Amino acid sequence: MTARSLAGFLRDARGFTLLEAVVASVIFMTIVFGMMTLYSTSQQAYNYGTSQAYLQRVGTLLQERIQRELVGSVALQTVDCGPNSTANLSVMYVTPGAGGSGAAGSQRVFCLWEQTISTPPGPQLFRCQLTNFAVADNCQGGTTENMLTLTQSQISTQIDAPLRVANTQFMRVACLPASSGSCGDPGRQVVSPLVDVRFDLSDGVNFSAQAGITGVRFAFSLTPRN
Amino acid sequence: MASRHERVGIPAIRRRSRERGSALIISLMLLLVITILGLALFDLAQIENKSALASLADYRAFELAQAGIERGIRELQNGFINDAYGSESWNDGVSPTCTPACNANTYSTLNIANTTIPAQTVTNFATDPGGTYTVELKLLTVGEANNPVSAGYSYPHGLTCFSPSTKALVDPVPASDVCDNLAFLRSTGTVNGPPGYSRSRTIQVLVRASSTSPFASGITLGGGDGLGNPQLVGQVNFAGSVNILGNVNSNPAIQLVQGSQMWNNWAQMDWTSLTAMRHRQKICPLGTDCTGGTNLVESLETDLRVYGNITNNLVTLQNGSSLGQPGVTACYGPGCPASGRIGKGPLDAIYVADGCPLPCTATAFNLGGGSTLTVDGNNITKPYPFRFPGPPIARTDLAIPTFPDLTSPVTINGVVYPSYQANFWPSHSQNPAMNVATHPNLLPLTVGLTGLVPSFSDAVSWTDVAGNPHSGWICWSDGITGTNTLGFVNGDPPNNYNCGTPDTTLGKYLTPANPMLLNWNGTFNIALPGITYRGAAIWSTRQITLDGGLTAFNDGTGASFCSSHCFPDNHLLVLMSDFSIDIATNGNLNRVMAFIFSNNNLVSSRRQVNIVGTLTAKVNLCFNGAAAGSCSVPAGSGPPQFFQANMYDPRNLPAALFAPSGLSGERWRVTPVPRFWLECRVGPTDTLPTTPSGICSYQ
Repeated sequence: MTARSLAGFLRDARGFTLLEAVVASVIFMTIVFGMMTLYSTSQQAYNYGTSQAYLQRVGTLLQERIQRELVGSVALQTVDCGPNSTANLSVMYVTPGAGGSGAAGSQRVFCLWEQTISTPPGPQLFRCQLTNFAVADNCQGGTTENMLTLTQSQISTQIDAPLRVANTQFMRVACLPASSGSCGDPGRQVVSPLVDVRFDLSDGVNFSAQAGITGVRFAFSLTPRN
Repeated sequence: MASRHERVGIPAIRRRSRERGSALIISLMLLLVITILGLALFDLAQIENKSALASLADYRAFELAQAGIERGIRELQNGFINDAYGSESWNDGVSPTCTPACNANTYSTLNIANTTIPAQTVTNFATDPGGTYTVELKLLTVGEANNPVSAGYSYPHGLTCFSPSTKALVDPVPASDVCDNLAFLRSTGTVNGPPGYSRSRTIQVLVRASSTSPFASGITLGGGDGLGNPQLVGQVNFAGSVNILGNVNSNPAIQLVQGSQMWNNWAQMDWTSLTAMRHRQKICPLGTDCTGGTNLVESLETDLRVYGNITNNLVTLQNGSSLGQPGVTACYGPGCPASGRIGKGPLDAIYVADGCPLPCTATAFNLGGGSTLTVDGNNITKPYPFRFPGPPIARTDLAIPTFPDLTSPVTINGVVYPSYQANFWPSHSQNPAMNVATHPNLLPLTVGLTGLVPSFSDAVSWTDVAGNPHSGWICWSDGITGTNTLGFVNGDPPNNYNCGTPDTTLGKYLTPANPMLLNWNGTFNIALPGITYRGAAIWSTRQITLDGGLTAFNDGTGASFCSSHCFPDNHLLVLMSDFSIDIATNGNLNRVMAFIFSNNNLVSSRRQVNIVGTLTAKVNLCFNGAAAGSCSVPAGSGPPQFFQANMYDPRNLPAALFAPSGLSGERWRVTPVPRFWLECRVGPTDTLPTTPSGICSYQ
């Protein structure tokens, strides 16, 4: 290497041109942005996945609990009960007793309903004990229980988004689908109270898979056996 | 030539080295992060998949258990109807069979085949692992069935049942007897899923076999006139079950006025009638502590069942009428208060509406003038069971609910008859049909049989259900020199009987096991003061008018109960007619003890009378003051009363009476008893108890 070329090299090594610096910065920022995007997307995907799995588990537990109680009930009516006065948002049922002394053989009457709450945590699913199997009967004091008190997910806790329900429906199936005729047609009347139950469960983290469904939708039908 | 290191120096070398290493490290870190995230997502997917599989296995196990219950019920029904007529039992060691033998102490496994549902592919990438169910059976003793609480059980309430003692007319029934028609069924469904996903769930029910015959119930009504007019109309008090087949136009089906009452006991029955019948088993009512045998009551196990459009008004009660009463009755019958009887107040169940809390006045019920309904268990009404079509009163072989009338096909003693009236009856009853020309002695029946009619005897012949010919005598002993008694006497050797000498010795007259089958082509009129009858007969006749009482011979005295001669187990008259039946139209009567069946028109009753037995009509039952549709009964002096009185053991019902449907198998129906369906609370380490207790107890 000649002295001239070395001098030129050393002069170059003292810094970058503005263009080089800009290009390098853009490349760096692009890489950083990409990494951040990758991180946040991955984090969101992780949150979605965690939330989805959690909702699936909690929703399944809720569904099975509702099924066990309603299937074994002595009587069931999709009427207003407890504090609910909105059609199809509540179900009233009687659990079989063991006989012996006590009111009707220790049978108990319960109301299960969606409580509309506009402020956080949002709509909740409640259950309480009633005094009578009667439409619009009030809850007994101290018997109201939030069915969603199963601990919320860690993710939703972090962002302060507890479990909530939406689009709850307890609807009696009066007759089979009728392309002709009506429910008055005895052939279409169902034998026993067949009830369609539906609720959407969300925690503010999960995404909604479909318009009109808030979170994860659980829907099932049941018939009391007693 | 100098090396590059020599030319650029150490700092340049270090810089270049760092540049290469950073890229590698960053790449590795990114790869690591992405891998971790991927693994986390994969792990989440696996967790969700496991959760879904666990839920699926849980649900499958439940459905398998329920399938086992349905299978068990079917097996028990088959076992019951495959037994010889009158000997139906689950405790006969023949059908069903268990391992170890079916018994009342502990659960035994029901011996049934094909309890495995094989695995199968349900989609291109999923497999249903299938599963199995095991059905267990435990019979009950009479004491366990009647009085569960004092017997140390936690069952919801007591039930009556029948046993070898009831079949043999032993009164009272020993509590140690094993019930022939009552059993606990327990089914465990098991899913053998992939490793870690096996699941079992267990369901327990109490099932009962009951007769579907209208002659084993109380009041039974057919489809009415189809115009929507009420079928059970007027002022009447009745004790016992009411079944109304109805139709979708019924609006209402029941219209009761003037304080009519529906009871679940015999408290209001006159003592003469009461002591003419054997006791009912005492049971522990729902919601009552019967520890120590206290608080047991007599119950008719009364149900009200109305089929119809549940959006119509089906039951109208006016003027303080009441169906069921709260609590229990006062002591009644001889021996009060020490050894008297106490009756159950509330009805057992109302199957009318859709499960609404009574009084359901928005649709099914119209309660006026302080009328009330009182039913077990929070006053709940349920839909008509077996709706469309099915027993207890509908023929199952037709597409629309149809009353099981005399023209229904029947299977009797293993022989299929397309029509009971056209095929069975002419070939077995007195043939040719009797009339005043061929049987002039029976002429008084057309104008009114009274005690003033001179004694006579009239020879008849018939063929029993097995095809054996019989001959016998209708014996009339007048009320002047004799006992005012109509007797149905077997004339086969060695029972040649002198009608002129009334004899109550056992074997001198026919019993419900082999009744006289009479085909009378004339009216059947009984006038005041009424008659007593002795023996057993099924009498098909034209129009029936009962203006005189009809009392079954019995050895009850009004102060003490019958023992060998009781209604309807020893002395029974079944009156069947294609025409209308009028009871107590012109005057008050003491009682009418009979099974009454009108195949075509209506049964009306106006004045005070105790009708004891069963009452069935295809169209209407019109009582005092009824004015609706084809019912037009002027107001009389007081309400007629009806009391359900069935055979002490329904298996003793005469085989010659027609079944409610065309299939002999429909003579019995096995159903779960409400309030006894239960899912055993089995934890991962629990084992099932050997009785309905512990995790399988009713709590």
